[in-house]
Amino acid sequence: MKRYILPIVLAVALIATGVWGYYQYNERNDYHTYLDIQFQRQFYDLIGHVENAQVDLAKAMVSGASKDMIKHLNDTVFQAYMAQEKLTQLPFEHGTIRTTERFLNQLGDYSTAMVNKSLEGIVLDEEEMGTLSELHSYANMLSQQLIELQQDITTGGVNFGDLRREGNRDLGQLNDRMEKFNLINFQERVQDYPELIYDGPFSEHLTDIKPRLEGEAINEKKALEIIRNNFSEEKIRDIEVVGEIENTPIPAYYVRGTRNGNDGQEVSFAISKTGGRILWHLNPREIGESRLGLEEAIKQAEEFLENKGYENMTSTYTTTYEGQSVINFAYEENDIIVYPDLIKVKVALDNGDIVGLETEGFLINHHERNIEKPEISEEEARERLSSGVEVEKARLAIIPTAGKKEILCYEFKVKYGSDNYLVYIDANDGQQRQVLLMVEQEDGTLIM
Amino acid sequence: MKRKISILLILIVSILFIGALVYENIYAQNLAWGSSGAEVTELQNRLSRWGYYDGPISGTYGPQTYEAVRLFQQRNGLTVDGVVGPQTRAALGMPTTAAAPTAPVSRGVSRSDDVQMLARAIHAESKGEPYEGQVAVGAVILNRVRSANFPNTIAGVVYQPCAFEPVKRGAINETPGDSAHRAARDALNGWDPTGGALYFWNPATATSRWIWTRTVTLRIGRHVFGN
Repeated sequence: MKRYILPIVLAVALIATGVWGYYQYNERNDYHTYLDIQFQRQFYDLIGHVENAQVDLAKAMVSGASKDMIKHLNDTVFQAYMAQEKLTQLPFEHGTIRTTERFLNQLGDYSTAMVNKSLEGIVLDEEEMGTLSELHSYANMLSQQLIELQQDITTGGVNFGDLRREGNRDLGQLNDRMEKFNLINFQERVQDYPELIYDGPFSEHLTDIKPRLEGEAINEKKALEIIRNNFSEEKIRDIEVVGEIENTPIPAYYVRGTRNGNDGQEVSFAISKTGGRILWHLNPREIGESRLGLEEAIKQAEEFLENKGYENMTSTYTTTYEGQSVINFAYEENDIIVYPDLIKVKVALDNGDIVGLETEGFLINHHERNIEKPEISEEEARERLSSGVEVEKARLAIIPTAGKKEILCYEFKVKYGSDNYLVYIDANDGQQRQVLLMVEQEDGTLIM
Repeated sequence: MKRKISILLILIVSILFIGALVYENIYAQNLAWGSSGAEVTELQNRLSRWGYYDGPISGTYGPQTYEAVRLFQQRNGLTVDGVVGPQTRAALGMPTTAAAPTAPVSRGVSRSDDVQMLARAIHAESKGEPYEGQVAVGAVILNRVRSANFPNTIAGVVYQPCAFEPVKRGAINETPGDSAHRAARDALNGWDPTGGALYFWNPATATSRWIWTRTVTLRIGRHVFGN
């Protein structure tokens, strides 16, 4: 009798395990199918959006009146971004879809730029219409190839759910398949579409910005000397160049050191190879109880900048968090605020130390500007504001556009209801260029 | 010898069993018509103890339980919908939803949500890296948001399939530490140690051949940054 007990126990356990395994298997299949159909749906959506973008763009091009064109271009923008969003969340390898991602983003972005132009009453010129029609033919090609890929996926039995489960093996297969067929083909052809230069955040000209920074080239020894001179009171020891920052707008030496006191906190710097300017500085030390107010912090930061030779810098806005204040400074010339010339200084509120510095905006953009007299007066600009707002402050400012061009504007700080806004009216043509909502928060004023 | 094998087998089977039990994670869910299980039994017990329910303790949420819940909600000033959500749960004295595994997400201005999201990504990607390396990881994510070749939101970039290894492993859901939070703030405030890099990889573990075709901008700690 006794000798049956063990086998029986084992048999029961085996059956139980089997049952459990069966449930697990079913459950896994459920998840798998769920994932697969989610990806399938996204893929169909992607095709739909690309097709719609293509059709809307075609309609925009045949529209006679500019208001009709704007309507269809706006639809194109929406469809292009939806398509981009769907494409980027499908499990494809980045390398195989990046050009397609860029195409969709630029299609949306370029259409937005054209909408803005048309809204200002400018009729699109031949070149711009040519670009639109070129973009249209690429959109057409893309939608055809996506349909092909879709058919291939269905008949070839590629299961998106599998892609996630099996990891990279099946993914590799799909990417190979894509290489043979469609998207890669598209990628290659898209390579030769014209460089798109326009006023938008995805414009080609933004990728190779030439900094205005000038000065002599420095070597590593000089870089270390600059840090010793600039941060002498911080008593930094063991500083050394640990690397170089290359292939960026401002090449620099990457330097680390240890600070005396503060338990030997490690700090880091980047010193530009041209001109030997501090590009950024980070000191991540623990910060104690706050003893300084914001006013004092701003004063500390101002003194610091003056000592480092930055003159005519005005603090524009601040955020405070975790015992430190980040203070933004903009260059000021003849009472005109130049926002692109931006420097950020981080002050520790426990003892007023400067624990961070960031000057890239200033180093890239700062130059002798010949600021022309505004075409319209402040009074005229004020008339362009909504009648419902209460103006609290007004001044001239240079602000960057989405495509990093500079425009001279009147900056109005206005109150509408209980909210504060900054409204920018172009000082030359009176167009409203920008509206920022200021959100007062515990940790400072946030500008959106 | 045979005996030893049997004992071993029993051990294996029991481990599997315990594993199966642990596997079933029970989270507090809304209970409504059609729900069943231990939670419903508990609900029926409580309702019948207080005189709202006189049906069987069946563990199945049916019409009688529905009426009892509605009555309970009515008398206790709750929304009368017959669904046991967090508020009704609290009024019943039943355990409310298990604490979320992530840090509480702040509501209101989207920027604070961005800090959370970015801090979690930085934490998952660059534990044990120098501080500027953490800021650099945050900066790469933000550079991608601004780049035409990538999604246009922080969440879109972080959750893009095949983009970040820790996201795939689920490490993205860990609670970030102080330093990741501070690094996220610095990155959002414009510190970019990489000078605009779109990629970073660990040369020791990178599996993609493609990544090596990128131009390197700098190395920080274990990571190489490039674009």
